[in-house]
Amino acid sequence: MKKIFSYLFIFAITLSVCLNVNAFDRDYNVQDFSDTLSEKQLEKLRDRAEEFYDEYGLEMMIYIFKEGYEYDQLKYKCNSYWDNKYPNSYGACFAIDVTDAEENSYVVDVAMSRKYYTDSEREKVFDNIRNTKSDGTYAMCEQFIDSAEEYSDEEKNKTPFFMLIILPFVISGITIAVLISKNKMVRKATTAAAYLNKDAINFTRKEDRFVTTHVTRVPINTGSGGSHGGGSHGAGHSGGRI
Amino acid sequence: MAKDTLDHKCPSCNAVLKFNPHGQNWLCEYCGSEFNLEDLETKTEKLTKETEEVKVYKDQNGMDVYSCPNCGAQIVATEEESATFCVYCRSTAILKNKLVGEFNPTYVIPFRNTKEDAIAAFKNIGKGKPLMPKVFSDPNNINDMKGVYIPFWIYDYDVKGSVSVDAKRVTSHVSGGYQVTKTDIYDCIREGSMSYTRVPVDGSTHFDDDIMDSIEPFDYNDLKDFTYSYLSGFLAEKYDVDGDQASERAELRTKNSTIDILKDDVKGYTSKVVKSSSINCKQTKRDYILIPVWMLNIKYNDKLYKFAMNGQTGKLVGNIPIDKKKAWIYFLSTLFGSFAILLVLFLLMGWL
Repeated sequence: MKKIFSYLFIFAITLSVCLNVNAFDRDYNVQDFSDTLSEKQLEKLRDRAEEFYDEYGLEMMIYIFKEGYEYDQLKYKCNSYWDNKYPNSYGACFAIDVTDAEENSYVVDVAMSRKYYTDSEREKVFDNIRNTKSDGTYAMCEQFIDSAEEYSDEEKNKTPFFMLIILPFVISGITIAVLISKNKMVRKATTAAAYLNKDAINFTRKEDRFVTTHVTRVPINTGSGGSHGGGSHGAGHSGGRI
Repeated sequence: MAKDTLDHKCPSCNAVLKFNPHGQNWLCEYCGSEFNLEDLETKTEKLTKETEEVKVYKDQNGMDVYSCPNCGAQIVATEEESATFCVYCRSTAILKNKLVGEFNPTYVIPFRNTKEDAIAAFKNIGKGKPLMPKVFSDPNNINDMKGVYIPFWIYDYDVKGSVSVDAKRVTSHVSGGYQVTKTDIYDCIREGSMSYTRVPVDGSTHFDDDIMDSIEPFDYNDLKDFTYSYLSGFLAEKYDVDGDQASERAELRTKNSTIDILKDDVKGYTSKVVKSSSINCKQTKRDYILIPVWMLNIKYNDKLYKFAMNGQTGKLVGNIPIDKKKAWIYFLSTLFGSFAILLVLFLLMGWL
């Protein structure tokens, strides 16, 4: 018994140390490399991103570039920043290149954790951003946060509560089942393989006759708007030029 | 009736002579003399000729009653017991008339483990089993272990058989935006012959088949031609399930193994299911043997729990009941422990 508790204690300490690495980093998570936003706007976005993290336990990242990035480059940046800091966390990432802002044309990438947000939710977030493009960069960033919040609904956040109640019962049940199985040492013998003369096996017929073939085709769900497989954080992307 | 019971006595000092599993010989605990089988049989023959006639009769309950050749006390034995003890002087009484004719075993595997070995093994049974009730580690219960020769039938089979296996090979690839899964179905036939040697089945209804199955396998290299001398110091039973009846279980095991072997030869498929099979088992030999087993019965909550240790290999089996109080303690400890850890984890993750 003491052994079990000591293992659990060590596990808890190790886990808590590991988890502390993933605290919210407001300066890293929200950055404007294009100098488009004012300092006040940037701080407000940081505040909101942090609130989002506190409320939902999900990371939020916003990056604004003015480098003339194509969509693929933007996507790569999005993955790099995320994987570098939060390789095992869920959340939402928004990257935008405002080089052609004067022409009202942006290259946007929205990456949202596939395990948390559904494909259709990611598409809706992208649509919402597209609808606010005339209001400028800051409005698009705010719209991204609003939409991310909208789909981080309460039902999803009930999952941890549910797991907190159910998981201990599952763990305890499995533990007891394993301990009970250790007390069962009697097994009925159903075969006689131990008494087979291995040298006396003689096959007289071996025939494999082809009967038929079934073929099934299932369409691969690729999503829309240029979505693609995410990095190691398991994020899915939606985005493109707007 | 002459020589109904035989108590092995030391030819030197006339004390009780018992089989010594470690030395595979016979040892006099009184004068320290040791005898091999040849010595003993010569001297025992001489001894039994001098044995006085003892009478056997049935009591009002139908039990066989013998006179102990050592102290004269009455020895009561069931119909199936062929070696027992005198409760007064602890002398071994081998009831020879129970092991004659069709009940005379062909072979015996002598004990290789002593009672001390068996007790030591049972004391370790609780390791890694925290839900075991305390009564199962009580030395008073463990010391009651008894060495018993259990009647077994062993069968040789020549088997011919065929199986028809429904086999599927599944391949998958991506083509034109589709996940294409192709399933090729084959009908695989395998026919062949094989043989099995000494498939064991216990021949006593007094012992659970499952427990006797679980103490397998036996090392048949130790098989000896049966002589009464090996029974000295142990209990013994004679069979009450005849060879024809017991062969049904041996044949079923043999058939199952044959189907498995034929099916396993079907290779290179994703899945395979036996559609039909035809197995013909021909019994080529059958022997009646005695197998050494250390038996222990422990009562817990008005129920008797049986344990058996293979007297040759030392394999110990038996179902240990669950101490419900301990189980609840473990369940609740794990429940609250895991709840606390998850709570900390969820708080750190910001999920609560």
